Order: sequence, then structure tokens, then C-alpha cells
Amino acid sequence: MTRNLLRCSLVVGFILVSLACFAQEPQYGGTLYTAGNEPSNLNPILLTDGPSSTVAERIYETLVCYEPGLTGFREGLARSWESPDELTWVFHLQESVLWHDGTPFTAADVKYTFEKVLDPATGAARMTNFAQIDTIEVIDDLTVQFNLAAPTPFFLDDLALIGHIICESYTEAVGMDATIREPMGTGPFVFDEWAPGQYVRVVANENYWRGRPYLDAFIVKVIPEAAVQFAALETGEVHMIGGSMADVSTVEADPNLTVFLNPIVQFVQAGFNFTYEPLQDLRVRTALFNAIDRPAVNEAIFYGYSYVPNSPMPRMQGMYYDEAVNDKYAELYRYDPTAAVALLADAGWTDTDGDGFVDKDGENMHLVILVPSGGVELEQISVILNTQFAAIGVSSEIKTVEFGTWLDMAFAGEFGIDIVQYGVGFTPALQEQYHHSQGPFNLQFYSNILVDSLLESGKTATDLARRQEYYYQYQEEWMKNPPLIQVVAWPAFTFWSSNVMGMSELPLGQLELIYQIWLDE
Amino acid sequence: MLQYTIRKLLAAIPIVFAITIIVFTILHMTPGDPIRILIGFGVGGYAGGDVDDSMIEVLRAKWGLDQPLHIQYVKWLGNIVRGDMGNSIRFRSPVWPLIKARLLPTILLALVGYGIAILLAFPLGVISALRQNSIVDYFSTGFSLFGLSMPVFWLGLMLILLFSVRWGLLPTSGMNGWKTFVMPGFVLGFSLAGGLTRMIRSSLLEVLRQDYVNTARAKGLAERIVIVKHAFRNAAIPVVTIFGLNLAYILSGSVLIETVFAWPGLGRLVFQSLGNRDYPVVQAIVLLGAVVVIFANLTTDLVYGFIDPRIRYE
Amino acid sequence: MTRLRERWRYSLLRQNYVRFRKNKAAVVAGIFLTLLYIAMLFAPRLAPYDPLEIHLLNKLEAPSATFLLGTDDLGRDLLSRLMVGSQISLTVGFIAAGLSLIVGVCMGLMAGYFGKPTDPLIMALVDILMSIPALLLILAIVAIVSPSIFNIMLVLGLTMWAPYARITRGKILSLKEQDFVEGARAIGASHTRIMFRYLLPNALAPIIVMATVSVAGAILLESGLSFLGYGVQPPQASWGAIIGMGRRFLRQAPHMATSAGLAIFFTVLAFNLVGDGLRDALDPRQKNR
Repeated sequence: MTRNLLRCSLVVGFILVSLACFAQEPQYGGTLYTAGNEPSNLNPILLTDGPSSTVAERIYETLVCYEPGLTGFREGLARSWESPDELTWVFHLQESVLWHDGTPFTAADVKYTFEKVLDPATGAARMTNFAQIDTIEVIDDLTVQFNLAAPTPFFLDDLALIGHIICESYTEAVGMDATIREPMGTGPFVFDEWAPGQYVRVVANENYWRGRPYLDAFIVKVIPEAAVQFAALETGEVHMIGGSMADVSTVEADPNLTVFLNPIVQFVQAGFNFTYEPLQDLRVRTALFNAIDRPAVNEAIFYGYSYVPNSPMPRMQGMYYDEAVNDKYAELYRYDPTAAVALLADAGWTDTDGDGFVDKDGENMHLVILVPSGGVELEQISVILNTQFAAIGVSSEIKTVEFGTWLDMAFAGEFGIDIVQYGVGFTPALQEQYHHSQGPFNLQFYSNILVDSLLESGKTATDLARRQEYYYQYQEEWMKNPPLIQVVAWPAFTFWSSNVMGMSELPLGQLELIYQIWLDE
Repeated sequence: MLQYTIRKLLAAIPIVFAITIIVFTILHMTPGDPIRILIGFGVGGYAGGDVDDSMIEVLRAKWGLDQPLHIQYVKWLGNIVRGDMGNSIRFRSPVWPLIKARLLPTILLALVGYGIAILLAFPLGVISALRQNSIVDYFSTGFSLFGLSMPVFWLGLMLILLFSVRWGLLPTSGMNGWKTFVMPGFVLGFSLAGGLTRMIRSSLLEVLRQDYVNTARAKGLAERIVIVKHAFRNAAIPVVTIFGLNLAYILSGSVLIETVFAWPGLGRLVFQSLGNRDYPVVQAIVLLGAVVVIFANLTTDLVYGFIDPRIRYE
Repeated sequence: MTRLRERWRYSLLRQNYVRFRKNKAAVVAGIFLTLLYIAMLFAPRLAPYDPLEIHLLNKLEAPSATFLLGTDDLGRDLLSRLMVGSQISLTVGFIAAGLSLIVGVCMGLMAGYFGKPTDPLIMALVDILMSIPALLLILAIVAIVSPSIFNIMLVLGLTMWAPYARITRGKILSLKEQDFVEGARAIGASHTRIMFRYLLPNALAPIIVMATVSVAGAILLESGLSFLGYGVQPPQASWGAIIGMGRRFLRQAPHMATSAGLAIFFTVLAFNLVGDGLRDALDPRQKNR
């Protein structure tokens, strides 16, 4: 009796286990839906916004791709590569890769792509990233060589991020402008339909060189209102949305939904305007730093999911992020209103006329806090800044303006403090954009010669150790003399239906390996 | 009447002209540079690339934004006359397909919304006028004022939470299938019905007190005939005006509904394009809008003449 | 003394007042409005909390004993913010609606009464104004003057008068052919007198309805503006600002948008009821006399 029972349970157990294994087998079929804002441009070398890249990057591919964890690079359209000297890169392309229209992918397409990018007439925003490319040679159908004008340590990074290849024959045939709405690439998905204002659909590439994706199709539904996106996720109309921190705990409690964290962070910063005299004094700037309770902001506005940075480098850029220096300055920039008041007094700012606000030479210091509308957290931070500045006696007023006007005012320097937010980027080259005196996004009018030279050297140092050294010194110098208050760095969340399988946490987002995703239905 | 119409149509041409010039000027006066907005801020080398100012100049030249204003306007006008609406800055592609794809959804939603507004407003308005200060009157007052006081997104989201999330009866958003017309149509209708109900009620009340109504009653005519024949016709003028006004505003009026319900309409397009300073798109839509406005007002005037024969146009 | 009392007893004013009093709903609404007005005037002193005071630990709390209407996204007391915010919202709502009413009605009167060439000209102006998107106007205003909420509402009031003009004109067109107008002309009344003394009072009904609708609309417009970043700047309180933030937290904290929306609703309802009551009391031809 017992032996029969035992045998029975063994058999049942075996069946159950195999069923479980079977259930984990990826299934083919199904359409993945996601909700977001409408893309505007599906040509990868012309596009400039996130929603567009969400779709375009499923259709087009790059020569190389990042390893998970950003530890290196793995093959993309190029199966191997070498750099015989500082100024030369040779890529050996994958064999038998076809464009979606059936024509073979060759080195000529690579050459064509980058020549177009570098041609000012095309109007590709990423032209500056590849400005170091001098010439591109087609060695043979599957080998292409890049000759650079100067050493470019981050060349592979730029290729991995924004080096998507477009098709020469197709683009010449229909014209670059037409490819904006009718893209064609080599990627796991083929462009199918774009219903303006409603959705964009791409379908599986049966001949994808890595193997047909499991999914039949991928659709981005245009849903502008965040609360409705969430409702669509709840009803099952979409499988994935970009999530807000306020909803994370609700989603975690729901067994049908999963939360994924993207380690890429957005920096939120309160930038000083160096053309406004009172802010030119380092003591005043440090005092303002001390006035803000940044951990409280982290807790209250970001539900504790963000971290408080001091270094301009994000933590995830492990190689270049100097933790020791970051911590060294944490003490200097701690929350300490008393110290702030003392520093201000030291710099000559005290409340002589009893109006509650500090002044010097008869004039109050008055900071205009400029915030672009649309970002809830940014507005909330501005209110906190306004309150906490008042607590140390600094008068301020908040000006929220819509984005277009904000850009104008920010670039014109019509502010005392401006609240900005941006994604941190994968390479330290980004730092140049914001903190170099000639950087296009240097809204602070920050001009620090030492910082400038360190950034320039770091950008071209090919030896890793030397490069690290430059960037470590840059961080130290920057933190000694900060152009802005680093308020928080916060990660992005995405919410998924629990029946979406095969996902990994990748810095570029879960959709990067979309050909591995399948639906358990 | 025919002469009047023709004269009005001819007069419309310089008016449309004036509108495009005014809007063009205002657009270029507002702060905000479409190219800077296109490039964005803080995409951080990912999805956009790093930009320098020379690229901005190249892109500005692409849309002729570097040319003097009057030249830009003349060029635009010349193209329009030839039927070319130009290219959107944001979408870098022709304007007309962007508009065309959204015309039908906008019109359909407006029709459904108006239909529901009429279905709600007429019975409520008439009954509250006939039974003034009764429970029904107060209910209808409260109902219609609720519709126009509560924010549209509130109404919309409450419905979505109830009918989509909780009961799973209707899709949350978008436009595919008749089911997706229900909630946005209702919200639109409900918000329009408020003003319409009140207008119907007030006009009827006014007319019901007039002497000729008493005369008709005294003559012994059935109540119903009195109302239909005399009261309605005279109460109609303000109601017709409201109709015309709502019609004129449909192109830009329902932005909020379109945003909440992800409806692919023109309201949202014009709103986004204003934010993006996408001049060609805004100008094209304003042009269309001007035509609709003039047409709506002209039709209203003609209907006045039809309802009330005493109205004469010189 | 008794003469005065006699005169009061039979005065028109008292008659109207008595008639008004009979309308229970209007009276209740009137009391509500008076209370509202008092609350608005003395809001800073009456409010339980400082509307700017942040309580980060209590954010997005539902109504409770400590915070009667709950708190907003930064933990500020909603009741206090609504009370103090009413000062701004009600004022701008009325400025915008009132200004557009005055301008629009005058335009409509002139257009309807004088006919050519005034009518086509004013109607052309109306067509132009109706074709320009409101948002565009706001963006332009901000370029010229400071974007304070008063400036914006002022300019909006001056440019959104088109509906009033159309409504008034429509009414005038049908009224002006009536006999009493002929009669007035016959006794030598001036144009102004005819317009304001004879035509306007009879055209009031739709204008009043329009006014109610647009007050609600103006307050909601203020909310749309603060969503864009115009109008009232943080951390100032206004109903529009509360609605704007309430929209973003509608799932997590519905009480924000709901309480602000209801505040608008009750205010508009009260105005409507009082308006109805007044009109009925003042109308000599009211059938229930």
C-alpha cells in the first residue's frame, strides 16, 4: 500500500516538475503592448526623444551592444572588432544579416550611415558625438574601418548607444525624410503601421539573424495621461508602463504586476547662476547647500528610492565614480541651517533691516527659482527650496513656466537658481555637456579652467588608469567649487504584467533584449 | 438671404487672411525656440546625442526660420494657396497627413458628444422650465452645474476607474470600436449639457411669461401646442447661438478629454504643437479653425432668420 | 419716524425682498454665499493651518480629525488652502467673467442694434478672436507683461468676450423688431437709452446663464493654466493650483481634486440659485404672484 502510494506520488511529482519546467519554456506568439507618449520620428539618426527611440531601437541595430552591468561590449551587427592603434578601429560584421526588405547588410551601409551623420545637411543631432571620425573605409563587404582624427576612448560607447545603422539602398530610394515615418532596419522587429495619435506597431522579423523573436508583435499605445496608463495596465490592455514612485508600493502588493527598477538615474539639480553676483561667493553657495535637507527630500518626494549625490558622476559609472571623494564632501554639504546662517554672515549677508531676509549694502539677496512645468517632483522641490531658503533668511520666489519658455529664460540667465533634471548618460563625456564652460547645456555660466582642462584631457586619454585619474581629479575640483546643488538622483521604474517573461534588468531598459521576451498566456 | 450668404462668404476671405497674419505674428513673438525644444534638454547622449550650436543653425535653416518674418509668412501663404501645408518641425514630415488622420476622430467625437448633450439637455431643460422650483428643477440645476463645475479629467478618470478598472465593461482609452466612444462621448456631452440645459430652461421661462403665451392659453389651445408652436420658436435663438459657439470651439475645445481618453483628435495636436512651437502645424490648424468658426457663425445667423422671420439682415 | 416705516413697508425694495424670501432654495444659497464671502475675506485668520506650512510626514492623507479635508502632496492642510485660495480663484474668476461680460454685451448690443456697418465689423472681430487659441494668447501675454494671474485673467477677459457678444446680438436682433422699440423711438429716446433701458433688460436672461457658466469656466481655466506653469505660482494657494496637483495624484489621493471640484460646484450652484431667485423676485410678470 505504502509502496504504491510512494510510487504514485513520485510519478505525480515527476509530472508536476516536468510541467513546471515545461511552463518555463518560452512560447512563441502574442503581442506585447506598452503605453506611452507618441513617437515623433522613427529615423534613429534624426530622432531626439525617448518615445521615438523606444520604437526605433526595436527596428534598427548598432554595431556593438553593452554587456549587462556595463562591464564591456558584446556583439551587435559586428561580431568582432579590434583597434590596431589609437586612431583606427576595424569591425568585422555578422554574416547573412538581411535588411527587412531582403537586401543584404554590408559594410557599405555602415559607411553610408556615418557619412550621413557627419554631414551637416542631414541635421543629425548626434553629429557631435561622432565628430572624431575622420574617414570610413569599406575593406570588403563584411569589414569596415574607422579612421579617427583624435583618440576617442568612448567610441564604442557612442556606437553602442546611438550608432544605429541605416540602409543605404532604401534611404537613397525613398529619401531620408520618408524614413522618418517608414523606417526599415535589420532589427528583431519590422515596422508595420503608425496610426497618428493612436499607436505604432512593429511585427516580428521572421529572418532575424539572432533567431525569430518569441513575440509576434510589439505595439506602443499612445496614452498621455499617467493615471490612465496605470488603469490600462490594471485592466490588462497594456503589459508595461513607465511607473511613478508613488505607485510602487501599490504595484508590489499586486500579484499580477511586477516592478522593475532601471539603474539609470535622473539627476535633479538646483543650479546656481554664476552671473548673479551674490552667488559668485563660494561661502554663499555652500550656505545654500547646507540649507537644504536633501535626505528629507529623498524620503518625502521620492519615497526613499533616490539617493543623495555629491559627485557629478553617477554611481553606476563604477569605473569613474570616486566614492571616497563623494563621501568626503558629504560632510561639507550636510543639512545644517545654523552653519548656513553663520556662513552667510561670514560673507557679509545679515538681516540688517529686520525684514526676515538677509541683505548686504542695503539690498536683499533675492533668488528667482526657475522651474519647468510638467514635472511634479521638480515643483515640489522648488517649494521645499523656497521654504528652507526662507528659514535661513534668504528671500526667494518660484517661477514656473512651460518648457519652451523655460529653455529661453534658462539660456538667457533669467534666474537665480534653476531646477533641472536630466538623465545621467553612460559615459563621463556627458559631464562636458553640462559643466564645461563651453558646454551646450552649461546653464550655470560656470567657468572653471581646471575643470575644463581635466574634462578635455579625460575625453582623449586612451589609457584607462590615466583617464580615471583625470575624472577623479575633475570630481574633486567640481565638488570643491560646485556649480549647482545636487538634490537627488532617482531611478526609473517600469511596471510590468506578471505574465511577461524573459526579462532582464538592463541599463538600457528591459526592451533592449526584446527578442528574448515572451508572453505566458 | 442668398445675397447675404454670398456677401458674407466673400467677406470671410480677408478675415481668414487677417487671422493667419495675427496668429503668425503672435507665434513668432512668444518666447521659445522650436529647434531648441526639438533637441530637448538632458537626453544625455542617449536617444539624442550631444548637440552644439552649429547644429541648431543648420536645423533652423531647414525650416527657413532664419529668414525675416515677412518672407517666412509670404512663403507660407504661397504654399498654402498651392495646397502645401508645409512640414512639421517636431515630426519632420508633412503637416496635412497629421491633420487628416485626426479630422475624423474629432468630428465623430463631437457628434457623439453633442448627441448626448442634446439628449440630456432638452428633456431636463424643458421639464425644469415647466416645473419651476420643483424637485425636478433643483435636480436638473444641480446635475447640469455639476457637469460644468467638476474638472473634466475628474469626470473622465472616475468613469474609467469604474467602468474599465472595476467592472471591466469598457476599454480605458483610445479609439477602436464603438465601446471607446461611450466614456469620452459621455464626458463631453455631460460637460456641454450643463450650459445648454440652463439656457433652454431660462429661455423657456422667459417666453412662458410673455403675454402672447397667455393669449394662446386664454384662447383655449392645448398646453402642448402653445409650448411647441410659440414658446420653442422664440426660446430657440439663444440655444441656437450656443450650438454655434460650441461647434466653433470643437477643434480646440476638447483637449482635456482627448488627453485623458487618449483620443487622437485635433485639440491635443494643436496643444502639443503650441508647446513645441511647431509653427507650421499651428498655423495650418488655426487656418482650418478659422474656416470652421466663420462657417459656424454664418450658419447660426442664417438659422436665426429661419426661426424668427422678424429678423432681417440689411 | 413712522413716515419712514410706512415708506419702507410699501417700498418696491421690500416687496422684492419678501418675494425673494419665499424662495427657500435661493435663501439658503444666499446664506451660503454670505458665509463663503466672509470666509474668503477673513480666510487667513479663520484657516486652521497656515496654507503654506509643509508637513512632509503627513502628505496625501485622507480627511481626518486633524486635517478636515486631508492634506496635499506636501502635507499642507487642504481646507486652509481652499479657504485662502478662494481669495484668488473667486476674484480672478469674477474679473475674467465680469470683464468679458461687460465688453461682450456692449459689443453685442451695438452689433445687433446698429446693423451695417457696425454689425459686420464687430462680427469680423468676433470671428478673429474665436479663431485664436487661448493658449497662444497666454503665451504671447507672458512675453509682454509679467505672468501674474491678474494680468492673464485681465487679458483673457478682454479677449474672450466673443460668446457674450454673439448671445447678446442674437437676442437683440429678434427684440429690436418688436413694437416697444418702435414706441420708444417714437417718443424720441436716444440710441443709448433704447439699448440700455429697453433692449438690454429683456436680453438679460441668456446673458446671466452665460455668466454663470463662464465663472465656472474661468476658475477651471485657472487650473489649466497652473498645470502649464502659468497663473498662480507655488507655493501660493488657489483652487486651480490644487486641482492641478490633484490631477496628478488622482489615484493616490482623490480627495484633493474632489474637494476643490466640489468647492467650485457649490459656489456656482449657490450663485445660480441666488441669481434665479433674484430674477424671479424682480420680474413683475412672474406668474406665481
